[in-house]
Amino acid sequence: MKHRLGAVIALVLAITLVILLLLPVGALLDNISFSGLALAWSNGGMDAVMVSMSCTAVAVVAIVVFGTPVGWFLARRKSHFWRVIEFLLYIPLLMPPLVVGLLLMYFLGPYGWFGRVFSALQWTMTNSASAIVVAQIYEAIPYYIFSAAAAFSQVDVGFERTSFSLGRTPWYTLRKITIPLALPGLSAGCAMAFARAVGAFGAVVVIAYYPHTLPVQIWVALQEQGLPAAFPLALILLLMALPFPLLIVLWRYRRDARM
Amino acid sequence: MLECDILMHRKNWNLSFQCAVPSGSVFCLYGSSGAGKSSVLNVLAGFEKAARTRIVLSHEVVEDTSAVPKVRMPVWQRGFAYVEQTPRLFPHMTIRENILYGVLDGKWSSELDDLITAFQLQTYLSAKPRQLSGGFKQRVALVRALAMNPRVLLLDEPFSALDWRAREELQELIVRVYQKRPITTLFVTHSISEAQRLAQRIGIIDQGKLLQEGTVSEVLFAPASLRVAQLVGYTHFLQGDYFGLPQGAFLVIHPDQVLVGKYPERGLVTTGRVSQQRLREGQQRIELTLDNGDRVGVTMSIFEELAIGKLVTVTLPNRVVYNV
Repeated sequence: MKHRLGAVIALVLAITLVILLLLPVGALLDNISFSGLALAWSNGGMDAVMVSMSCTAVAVVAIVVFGTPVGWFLARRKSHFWRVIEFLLYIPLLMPPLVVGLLLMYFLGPYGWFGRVFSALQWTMTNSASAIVVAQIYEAIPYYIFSAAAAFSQVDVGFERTSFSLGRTPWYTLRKITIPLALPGLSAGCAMAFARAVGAFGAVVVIAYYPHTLPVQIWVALQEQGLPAAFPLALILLLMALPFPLLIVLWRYRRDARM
Repeated sequence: MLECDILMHRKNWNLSFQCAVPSGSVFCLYGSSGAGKSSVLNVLAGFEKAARTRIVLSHEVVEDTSAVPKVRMPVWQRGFAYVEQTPRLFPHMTIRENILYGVLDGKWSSELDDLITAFQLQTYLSAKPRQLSGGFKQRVALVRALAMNPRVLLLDEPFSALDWRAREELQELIVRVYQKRPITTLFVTHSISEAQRLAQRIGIIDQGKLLQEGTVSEVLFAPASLRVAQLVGYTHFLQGDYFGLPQGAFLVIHPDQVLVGKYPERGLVTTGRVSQQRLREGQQRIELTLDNGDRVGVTMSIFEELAIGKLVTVTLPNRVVYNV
């Protein structure tokens, strides 16, 4: 009887929580008209979407390419060196995005250490697509690295040892065993990194006000025209940010059911 | 011939192990948990490094830490297939893909067909590992190891997670496969019956030291020390003038070897009263208290009715061991 009561309370709490969390999305949909959406799209929205999508795509690819090996080393190497690296990676993870932006500005700005090097190469690292990508990477890569490390940790080393003993090289084992088994965790990390990158605002607004990404465009619309102008753009951002991570979640459900 | 010499430092003891296994034969490493058996296999497979290792297979040096420069063949080049207690079938692959994994050219051969038939896996090839029982998973793990044509097969307690019937069936299948196709094998177990069934030679290992090596019968019927006797199932150790034993000698009693009745040509005849009776592995284990107060265990059929206190004549095989 007690167990049943506990289950009912948990169910009610879960439903209440889901309603509370999704209620603002309902409010957003309630306050948007098709004409408002079309106006926002033609009034800078489309350009912002293009900037956001292209920069996020580049940032996510860079995050996966650089973050996956680091995640693997964090999971598989137990040495002091890798524990120090792990500890240091918590700093960008925990740093407020606005502070990341300020530090990037100091570092990559026209008078910063690296900024001067890039300037000499005729490469502008502020107010450019490159700056947006860098800011997105800074905001999102720690999330991916820790997710990848957790995903690789969950792959039983025994599988890799078995693969070696069956005559397969470490590279073959990585491709055929480790990565496929870590894929649910890696894809979840990728989804999280994508969501962080596409919604990156704090660091981006400092180092790359122009060209406007969608979050920056929303902020500009809010400042200059108020909520009615910002709502359609917010919906566009949701439509851009949600499908990929949600598809990954669905894919994980299916995969878990099959394995 | 597989020759190995391993020295490995452990927290409380050192593992010091040497053996020479003739090609195509099965060598069993027998001992209690934590004795160092699995460590030997891990070093042989290349998963662990030891302070000193020398492994030579058919005159080819696989690993030699004393050589200059050191020789250490990578795990994947050794050709030492490793099967452990957990089958470790790759969960995202079908049974067919699992079996083909170790076949470097990826081609399905008639030899594989024979193996699949011998292990009765024909109907499971397109299944996923999660759909198989523990016994069948272990069959697949063994077939996968055999499919790669290993130079050496390392078996680390492959039957210990299986139920009695699955264990019997799998051992029977392995015996049949080995009759057709002998493979140099190191087999770790803590079941003497498994060793008897599968191995030509056995090494008793305890706290990292090889205490005795020989055929299973040699070790079972002539243990070299009290510790070996304990490890292979001797349960009672009698001492003293009663049996005319010299100083430091023990008459060691294995309950399975005690005969009920008077057989003077087979050992020492004595009498004792039944003091305890327990069921064990489908048989009954009787404990007799002899006239001098010593106790001996006797394994008997459950159909023998022996009441507590009944006087029984037994013949104790004359196995004398010195405490070395």
